[in-house]
Amino acid sequence: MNRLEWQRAKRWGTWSVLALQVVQGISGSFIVSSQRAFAEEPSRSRPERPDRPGRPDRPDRPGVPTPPPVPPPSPSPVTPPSSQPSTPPAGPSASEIEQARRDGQYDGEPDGQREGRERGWENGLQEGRRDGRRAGYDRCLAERRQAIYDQGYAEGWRVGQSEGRADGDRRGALDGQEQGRSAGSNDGDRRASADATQASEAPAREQGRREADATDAIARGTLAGTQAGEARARKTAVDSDYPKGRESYRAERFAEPIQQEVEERMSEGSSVTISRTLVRSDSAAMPTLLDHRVQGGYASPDYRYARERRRYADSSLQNAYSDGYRSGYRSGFDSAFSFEYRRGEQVGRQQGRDEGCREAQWVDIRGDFLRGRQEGQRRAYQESYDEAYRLAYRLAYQPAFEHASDSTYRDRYSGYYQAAFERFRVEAYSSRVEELYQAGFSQAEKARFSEVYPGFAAQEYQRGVSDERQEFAQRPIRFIDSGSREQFQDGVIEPGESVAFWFVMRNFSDQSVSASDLRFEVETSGKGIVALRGVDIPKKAIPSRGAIRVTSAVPILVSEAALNQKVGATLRVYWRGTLVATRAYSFTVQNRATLEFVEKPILREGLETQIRVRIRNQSSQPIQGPVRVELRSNSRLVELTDVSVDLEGLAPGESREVAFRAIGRSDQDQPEIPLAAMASDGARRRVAIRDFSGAVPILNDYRIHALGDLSAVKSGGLVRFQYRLRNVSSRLLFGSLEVHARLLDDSGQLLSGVRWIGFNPQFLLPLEQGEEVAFVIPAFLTTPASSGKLELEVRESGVPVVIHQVQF
Amino acid sequence: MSSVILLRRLVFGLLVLCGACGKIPSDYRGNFVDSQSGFSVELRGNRGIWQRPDGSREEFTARAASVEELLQGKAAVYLRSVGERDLEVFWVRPEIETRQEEYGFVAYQGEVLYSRFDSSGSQGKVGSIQARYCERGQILIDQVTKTFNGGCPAQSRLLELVRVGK
Repeated sequence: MNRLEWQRAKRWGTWSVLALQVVQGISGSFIVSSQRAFAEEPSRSRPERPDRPGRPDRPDRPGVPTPPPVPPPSPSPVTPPSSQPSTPPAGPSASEIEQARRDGQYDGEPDGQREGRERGWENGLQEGRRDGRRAGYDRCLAERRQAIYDQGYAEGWRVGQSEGRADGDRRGALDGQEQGRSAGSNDGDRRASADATQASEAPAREQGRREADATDAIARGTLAGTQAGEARARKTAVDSDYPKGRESYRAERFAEPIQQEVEERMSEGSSVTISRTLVRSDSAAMPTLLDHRVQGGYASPDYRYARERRRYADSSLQNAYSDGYRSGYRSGFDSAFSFEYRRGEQVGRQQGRDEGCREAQWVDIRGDFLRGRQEGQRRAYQESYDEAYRLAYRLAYQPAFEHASDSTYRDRYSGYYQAAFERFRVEAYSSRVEELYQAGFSQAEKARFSEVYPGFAAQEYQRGVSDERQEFAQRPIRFIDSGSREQFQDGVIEPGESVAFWFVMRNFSDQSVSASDLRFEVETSGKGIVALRGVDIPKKAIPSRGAIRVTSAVPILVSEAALNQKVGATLRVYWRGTLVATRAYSFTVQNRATLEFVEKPILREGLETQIRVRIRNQSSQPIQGPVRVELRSNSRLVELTDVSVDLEGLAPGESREVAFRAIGRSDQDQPEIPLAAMASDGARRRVAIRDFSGAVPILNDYRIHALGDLSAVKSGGLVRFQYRLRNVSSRLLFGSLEVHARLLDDSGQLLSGVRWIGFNPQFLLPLEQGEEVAFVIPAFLTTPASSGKLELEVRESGVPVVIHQVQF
Repeated sequence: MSSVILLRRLVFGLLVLCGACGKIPSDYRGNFVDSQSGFSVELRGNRGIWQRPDGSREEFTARAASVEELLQGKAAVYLRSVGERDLEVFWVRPEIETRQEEYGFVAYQGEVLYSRFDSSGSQGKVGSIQARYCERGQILIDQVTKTFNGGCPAQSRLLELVRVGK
């Protein structure tokens, strides 16, 4: 409560405000007592300075320390009890006000001490007793429980120890015996096996070797080696010396001079939490704050003994006194309260501890005894059991182990020995036999090879010579050179071009080969290639030990289907019906020149654009001019202004670019328009061709469409030509816009008898990109038109941007 | 229908109404001069004044563009909303003697000045206005479809009208 509130409460003559403030922290009873205190003691004049108010008679409490002395009141400003108002003096001085405040403080302090002593002792005693009782209860109960637990534990320990020891003895002995027996058996078996193996190996191997030495392995190896050596010698002679013999004879024959060469030209081709840090539950603290109880010896005075003793005529002096009184009261309360609180708390705690401890004596703790007993029994049992088990186990294990081990060893050694012996013996035997065999084999094989190979080699060589000689006799005709010849010798075999084969054949016999005994055949492979004749029969004989050069034999022709294909042909030569020579040829059919579109064609409706193509001579010969490059289309959606362009000629490897002007005749964005570019030489023979098929973008800044039916034109009279105009991509907002309308006859001439209503051209309001407008161009036709077309031309800032034609 | 669409339609409706109300948007009011030609215009709330390079001056009332108004051949500053934010502003001073009317189609010539304003909301006074001006422009009215159009020829003049004063 601040000073203002205190003064207000007093001025109103009621303590309601004071009560309201106090009720926030103090009990309701205090409110009543406060009211009563002031009601019972109305304003009083300052009494004689009393002795310091004594504390209540409490023989069991020591004295309260005296708070710091308050300066004694000065005698002057004491205002006698005044029920008679007097003329108010002029305002009190500062020193007078200060003196009033001190007087108040002096009067308030003992009253506050009184309350502090009283409440501090009570509160401390109560709190201490509560805390002490809880602590005493807990401690005594824990002590009792621990004691009874320990008793149970000791008893259980004794029982467990006895039982564990007995069980451990029994079980350990059994387990030790059983496991010792098992392990011993394994040990004996292992030792028997190892010892037997070790003991048997040497004698067994020795025996095996002896037995092997007594066999005929060497003899068998020698025999087999001899056979193998001879076989290798024979095979080597066949694989190596026989071909050498044939090759030798062939070389010898080819080295002979050609005594006479004739030539025959057979044909001509045709060319990212709630923070927990400050979220602390104050639930434990809340009761203390709310019930205004002390915590650690702190409390607020409830002014139950507050009695102001003086009255001043001047309100400011009275206020100063009141302030001092409350200040003194509070100060006295605080010093007395905390001291008494601590004392009371100590006494209370001790009392509480005793009470708590007595309460703890009545708690049933038999369960702790049982729990201790069980735990003691369990631990003792396990401990004793383990110890007894280990000892009994050990005592039983070793004898059983030793007995079983020895017994098993004795029983099994012999068997292991015999098995190992036999294994080693066989192993050594086999190894030795193989060793002896290989020794005999290797030596004999080499010896035999060396012995017989020379004879076989000579024999096979001669056989080769003989066979080749016979071959020459049977097949005296051989290719010695061959090739193909294109009709136009420019390094490119083109569609429509013929290819002929040439070759040189030699006659190795001593007699001339009759022309009638020879036949040349060609077999083609691949699309678009045909043999013009298929078979040729020469006219000239091949002279003895002479040769014949045949040019232009069995020509082939490549067609358009073979363009850009790899094709092939095989030439076969027959002598007296027997195939005596074969040669294969392959090549790719190409045009002499290549044509390509420089970029994807783009058109504009009604306006000219360029379509550029590039021609390149890929042959080794110049293409004679005039080389005509043409662009064609069978589509009505494009109008080619230039159909052909003539070039003077193209040197080998030279390329040129040709531009064709074209006009789009479609209001679609990307219609399919087939295009074909071709080129021909001065002889009007095609040298290149290229197709283009696909969508061709038609790009105009504006698009205009005629709306409705135009058949009214055929009737004559008034005709309303409606149209819709759209700005597709022009960003020129303030450019002028105009539409020109024309009616044309089939020959493209303006129709006569047409009178445009209003204006033609029409000037239009500008359109922003994406905007469109629909309007009408009226016309009066004095003469009906049977057919023709309406042409709508749009100009932006005077420049044509689209010309749309509609047929009627 | 979402609130966004409703709001958008409401705004659009208001803009259309604004175009129809025949008021020059406040951001465009003031005096503007094309320094190259000397042509100037003064725009006020409901009227416009142009002054030709020869000093002659004429004042026009601003009104919503309609076929009926144009048919009467009144000289005026016509306003018409285009899309959601644009306002077409075209000044017409008809030459009545050129008026033709046949088969429901009316056409006449006259002085035309065309420009576009952004009517999407106040963004402060505009500094300049582009416009196309011609002495022999066209106004075309189709009484059958109640539509009109018109404009200037290619030889017309593009004006860069720059604000003068406040």
